[in-house]
Amino acid sequence: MTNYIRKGEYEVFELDDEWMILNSADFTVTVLNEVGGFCWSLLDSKCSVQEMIHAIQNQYDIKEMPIEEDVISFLSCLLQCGLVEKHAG
Amino acid sequence: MKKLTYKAPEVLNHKPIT
Repeated sequence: MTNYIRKGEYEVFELDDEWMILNSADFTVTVLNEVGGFCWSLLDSKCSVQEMIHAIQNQYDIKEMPIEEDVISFLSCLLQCGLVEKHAG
Repeated sequence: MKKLTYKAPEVLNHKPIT
């Protein structure tokens, strides 16, 4: 099972329904939507895709909605931005 | 209390600081 976790400590600002992540190591700013921000808050410790799906389904009361593709796509975006890293097992 | 509505989690913007 693959787990994801934040790569480092980042400054995070919440503005309206958007989350702004300031990466002072790479000098980048990344803006997430509200659900993206919720996912980001889960990544302070190791989190699998399935754990993230369950957390979102509980938080937003959408237990029947298939959101696996959304979550996988979002996590691969965060990987590309250099904000998270993958851990096997 | 604010009602939570689901939207696909998304990276809206990612850019270097100048």
